[in-house]
Amino acid sequence: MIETLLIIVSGLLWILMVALAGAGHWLAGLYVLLALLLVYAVLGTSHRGRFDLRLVLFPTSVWLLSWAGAFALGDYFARAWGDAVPAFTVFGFHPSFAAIIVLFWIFPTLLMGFGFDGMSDRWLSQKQWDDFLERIEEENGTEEGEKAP
Amino acid sequence: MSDSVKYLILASSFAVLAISFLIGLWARRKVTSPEAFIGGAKIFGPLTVGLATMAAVGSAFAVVGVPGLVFSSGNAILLFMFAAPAFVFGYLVIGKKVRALSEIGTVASLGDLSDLRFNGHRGIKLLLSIMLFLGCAMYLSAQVEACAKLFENLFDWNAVVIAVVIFAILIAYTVPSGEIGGVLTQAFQGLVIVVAGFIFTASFFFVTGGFGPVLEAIAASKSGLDPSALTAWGSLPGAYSFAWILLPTLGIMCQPQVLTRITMMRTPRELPKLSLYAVVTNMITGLMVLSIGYCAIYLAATGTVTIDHPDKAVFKVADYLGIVAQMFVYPAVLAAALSTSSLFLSLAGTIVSRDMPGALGITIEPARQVTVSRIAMSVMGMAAIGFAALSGDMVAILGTYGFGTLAAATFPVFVISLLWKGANGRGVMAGMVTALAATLGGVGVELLKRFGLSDFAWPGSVPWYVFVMAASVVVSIAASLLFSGREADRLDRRVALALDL
Repeated sequence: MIETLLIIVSGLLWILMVALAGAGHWLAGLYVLLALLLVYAVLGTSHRGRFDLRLVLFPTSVWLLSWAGAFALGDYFARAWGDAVPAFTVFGFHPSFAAIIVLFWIFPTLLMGFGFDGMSDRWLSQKQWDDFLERIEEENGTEEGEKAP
Repeated sequence: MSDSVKYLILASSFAVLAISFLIGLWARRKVTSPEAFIGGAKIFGPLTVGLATMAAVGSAFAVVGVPGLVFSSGNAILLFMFAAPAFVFGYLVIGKKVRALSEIGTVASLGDLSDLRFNGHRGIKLLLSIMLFLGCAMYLSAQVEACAKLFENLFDWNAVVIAVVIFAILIAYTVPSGEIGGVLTQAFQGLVIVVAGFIFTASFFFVTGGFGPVLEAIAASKSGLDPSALTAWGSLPGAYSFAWILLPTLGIMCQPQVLTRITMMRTPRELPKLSLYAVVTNMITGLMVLSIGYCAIYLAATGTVTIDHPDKAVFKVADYLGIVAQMFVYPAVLAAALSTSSLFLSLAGTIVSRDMPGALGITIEPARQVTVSRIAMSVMGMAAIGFAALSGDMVAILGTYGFGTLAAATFPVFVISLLWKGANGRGVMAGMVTALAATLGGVGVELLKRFGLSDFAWPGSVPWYVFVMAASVVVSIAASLLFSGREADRLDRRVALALDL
């Protein structure tokens, strides 16, 4: 039931996101995209009907917050010096793009890569995988038994 | 450029082809069954798959198209390249479910995955096959364009002849060992791209002195380069930034290059390591294309080099940097184009020889499947050449068309339905019909605009494939809710276990 509700929410977010972008509010559409990713992140942690919110909290939520910061700062500095050379640079980049480099690319990429690796047992433990394979074997056995004359 | 330099570059480029061919031949010994040939072998570790996935996703779109667009319109397209966390997100959200499905039955193609999830629903499999075929043609056309630009820059050869030669070589090395050879050659090609990335980035700093001088060069020059190009959103309308963030973020997880490789992993427990390798190598590629794009802007702004077409930016920059850069960049472009092309050619072969006949209730003997597959690859090659010539778009734009079409086709089948047990056959079928109709409409409108027969503008300047993706997802969900409760849609108990993992 919760899964169905979340999927309905995701559908509504898709409509809102594209409608905003289509109406010219593409930056607002990007923030809606972050909410949509959060919904998929929650659904992706579902294990036998239970959601693992700690896995959603780290690393996914930190990533999404980082992207929200990148969008906000990127847009702020783009508006401040959009048509002119900026008053200062960060690592040689326009400050608007520097926000993207740090908060959209390098930090969240390393965070997600190493964070996921660090949480790998929580995501799928050897026991969970072995249990799954065992239950598949059992189901296959049951199916063969049902088919047998 | 002297003739000896040209032939040296040609030799280094063909060395990539020759090594790929030898890897393909060597990999034949690992093909133990027809299923293994078309992608059913679960034998690979995270490093091999990580490199192969990065190379296949990156493609000539990244190495040629992205620097070209950076040169012509600034940073917006880099958002696509920098959305690397999406790799990890995809594996995190659906990776183990996809891999778990391949424990239930033989999964050698995306059609097999769809069969398992939707109890062998023929309509979904057929529409998926058609959409994948269309997406393959568009994505391959980007690779055709990139190869054409490469050889055009060196020898001024005819673009169609170049494309035919490249596809002939590709088919020759893809046929002996199928997908096993495909993964191994793509991993090698990924390695070539990573090495080129290091060399090119170092060369960039050597030539320009860093990113700051690029900005200064634009400020000082009277070249007419737009300072807004170097902001976060570049000089294109903001809707492009929106689309080029959305597309990889939601689209990477359901790209065939990613999905088919997950099913070939030894165990899903290695997916976190795979995602780490994929994003680290992707970051190196990102740094390379950023450097190439900025170097092109710098050289043009200082009047050092003239770049007459954005897709030639990478080659003009390499030519300026000299023989060492040239000997790595040209092969890297070829490697990027080949890795993606071989995957999509194999995919086209599998669709026509296995998935489409299965969807239509036709059985093709395994021995004949290879022949049918070869014919399909040739047809796909010609379709890609035709689309590239007809559309006349830049490499990066063609790449986004293919990426968007593939995402619209696969998102309902492999993301919505793996995250939600309530997604049912009739619902997803309705979503797929919508996706196909909307894709044909979107491409049709773009072609009409290309030939001056229409001045239709998409709302908010948002690229058409975003609307196609949204329509397919929303219709799949709504129709699944509407048609719920049918006995035929009841999940196989083993599939339910995989979705619960």
